Amino acid sequence: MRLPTYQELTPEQDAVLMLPLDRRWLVTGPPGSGKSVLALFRAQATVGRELEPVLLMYNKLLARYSEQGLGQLGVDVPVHTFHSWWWRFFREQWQQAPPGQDWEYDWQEITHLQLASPAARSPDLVLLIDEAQDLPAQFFLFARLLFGGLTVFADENQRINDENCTLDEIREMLRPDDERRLTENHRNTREIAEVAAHFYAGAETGIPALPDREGPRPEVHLHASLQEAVERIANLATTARHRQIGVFVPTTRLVDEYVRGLEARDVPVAGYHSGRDIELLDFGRPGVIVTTWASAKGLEFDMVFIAEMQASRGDVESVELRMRLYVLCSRARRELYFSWTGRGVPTIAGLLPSWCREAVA
Amino acid sequence: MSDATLFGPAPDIAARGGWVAVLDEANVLEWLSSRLLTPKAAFVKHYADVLDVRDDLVPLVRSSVAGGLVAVASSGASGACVLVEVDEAAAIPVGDPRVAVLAPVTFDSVRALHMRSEQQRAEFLARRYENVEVDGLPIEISPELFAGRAPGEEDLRRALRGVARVRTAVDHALADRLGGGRLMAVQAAADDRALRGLVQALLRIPPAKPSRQRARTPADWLVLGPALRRPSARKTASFDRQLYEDAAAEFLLRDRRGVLDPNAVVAAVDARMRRRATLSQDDRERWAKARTWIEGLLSGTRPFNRFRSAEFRAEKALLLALVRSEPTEVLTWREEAIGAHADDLLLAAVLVGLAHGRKTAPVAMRPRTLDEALARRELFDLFPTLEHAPREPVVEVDETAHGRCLSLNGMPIRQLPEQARTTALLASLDLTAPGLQDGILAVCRRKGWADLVRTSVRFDGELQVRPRAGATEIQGAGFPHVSHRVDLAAFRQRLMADADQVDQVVDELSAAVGR
Repeated sequence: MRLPTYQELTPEQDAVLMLPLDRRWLVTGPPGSGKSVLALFRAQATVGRELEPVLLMYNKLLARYSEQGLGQLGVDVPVHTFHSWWWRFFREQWQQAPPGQDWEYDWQEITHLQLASPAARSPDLVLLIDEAQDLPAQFFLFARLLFGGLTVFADENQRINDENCTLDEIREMLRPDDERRLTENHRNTREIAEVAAHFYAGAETGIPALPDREGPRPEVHLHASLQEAVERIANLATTARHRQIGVFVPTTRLVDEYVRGLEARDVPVAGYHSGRDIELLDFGRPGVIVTTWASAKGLEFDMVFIAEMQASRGDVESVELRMRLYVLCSRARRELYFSWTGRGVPTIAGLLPSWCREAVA
Repeated sequence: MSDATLFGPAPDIAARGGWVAVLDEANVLEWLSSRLLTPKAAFVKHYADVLDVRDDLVPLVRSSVAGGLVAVASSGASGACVLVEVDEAAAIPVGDPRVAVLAPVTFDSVRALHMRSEQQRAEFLARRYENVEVDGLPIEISPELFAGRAPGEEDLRRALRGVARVRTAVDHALADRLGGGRLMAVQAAADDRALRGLVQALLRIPPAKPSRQRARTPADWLVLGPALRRPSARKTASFDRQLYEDAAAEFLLRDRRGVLDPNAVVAAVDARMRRRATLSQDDRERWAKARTWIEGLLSGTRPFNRFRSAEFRAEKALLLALVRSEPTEVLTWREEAIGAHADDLLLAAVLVGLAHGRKTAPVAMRPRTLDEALARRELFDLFPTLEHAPREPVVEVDETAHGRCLSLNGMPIRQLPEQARTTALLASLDLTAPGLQDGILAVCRRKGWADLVRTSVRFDGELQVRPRAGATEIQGAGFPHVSHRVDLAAFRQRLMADADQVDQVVDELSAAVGR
């Protein structure tokens, strides 16, 4: 994770960074607007003060990613996934597991518990929540009642599924003292943002303004075989061995195949999907991380390969697939590559911007 | 301008206290990042404060009247104002006892940062940035300075109306870019006998005039001044120097907000090289070949593991700068065995420094003594006609408990790589290994160690020996058998004693053994 210099932070980011830590804030913004970076900077600002900061993320991958980002800042702030933290907190407060099944909590029952035996308020506890749209909305009601400071970062466009909460639900439950909106894209180059924007399928926080910073134009690579595709990535990764590279493939089987292929070519690589050990991932070091399209959310890399596109099983007419591609493209900081293998042009290629299709033709 | 027209009556009361600049708190971070007390024109990001009054100079007021201007400098992200008190000697009078203009100075001229409260100090110090050093700042809590009567922005503007526009020799952004190049040169220069001289030359004020002696190595011809914007077309300049200058001009032009597009840079450098009338046909062919090679690596159609040749070549430096375009990235090459010459690494680092500048570089790369020296050197770029105190930096290589380090004016500025690795590698290398003789001969030839080599020439027939133009010519029928024998013990000893590029030679020989 590369953290911005003082000059690289924009006035709207400075404004979020300077917000008092002991109040409730809702910060919204599209991918690349700097929400995760600001969560880390705000966590850093708690150091040396009489505050108890906790950084909460929805999934393990993002938690690991943020943990390593804090390490870069030299800051020791606990990072937890929402579920693990909530279970621990619940047990401490009520000496039992949170009621519910399969990570679906029974909020009515929890409310009864709170009314019968109210949990102690922790005014010094500062919760910084990233990707808040993936948390259950009712949690924000409890957070509001129990904790001193809350900074909640959310983007409705990146909801994992429709069961997650909307910004209106967060607002209603959290009742923030105020709201800040990040509008600018700081992660992508203009060229990458333009391609990402092509896939965008609209929601409240909108799409960020196209960035000014320029960079190389995204490329489309066609390969005869998976081995050839792996070879090309291996060559680029060897030349750019100092860079963090993300390879996103549609299936877990392909994650394993790419990992094996890159390992065979002596490229430092780690793969991640739900069946693999997350401890193997190190976001602070250069190298390749291969993961599924579904696990790419919230991450960012210098170079991104959206590979094996022909293996996507999504409906090419669906909004979900477009939004998926939007999220995948917007993970790239410097360079973006689309690729597929085999003969012919897969249907999904029809979703690419026309200049990409022309390049293929 | 009279006192009465500026801040009203009672000048004897108003003119007390030190000279302060009334800044938005965030703008102090910009000054800290560059260690230069610059006007608004130099800012990358600026929040409203008194620097808005004139973008070419820094207005100062006596601290006793600063309170009236605090509101002007409190509208930024933090909503907080800082009064930056400077040395009395840094204030240039403008004809009003309460107003002055700041001379071009570095952060060393700051006496105190006055803040309104302990809470402001805590908030200010809590936010950390990798390119801003806030430790050890002389912060004073002085709430009394933040209250006061109301001389406003307009009054200040009026007081400065008679002050001529301040013109710099180069714009602030270019000065910062050149500073970035110098910083990277200091950080990347090889640990050899030329190190001290190079660092001294980079930091000296005024800069030394170019030597008339023939420039051989990059350390002899490394240009890091404003002239770099317009590369010269000196006929005697080597291909390497010409390529460096064209590449440097392109890296200087690059918008640092963006991501470096390696292919675009190569195309732009190519256009410059094609326009050069000073390139020989051989040089043109060399560049065409280099361009094809670089483009192949950039496209991923071939891998890059290590260089085949260990010789210094500017095209290698260009490639390194293109693929490792961030300051911290390019400096890590040294730790990897890629077969680069020390001068390849030096030039690559300089190019990256020129693209990024100094003030956005991590503070970990620029210890305060070095940063201060670089800031002063930038002031010379900005104001070469001003009277500058001559500075001959004292550069030494010291042995410390933590290893060898480069020091500037007695303060450590860079940890030097351990030499033990090289010594161990060299000791472990079997110089008699098959296939190594050609490599050893190449090293002797390149380094001019002819005295270590005994050469035998054998003809099968009769010979004629005759003197010719200071040498001896041998003629005979057929093809001669030439053989060389190197004094390996002397070679090893010579290599140990010569710190210059020893790592690279050992890597080269190790690779030859591996083959």
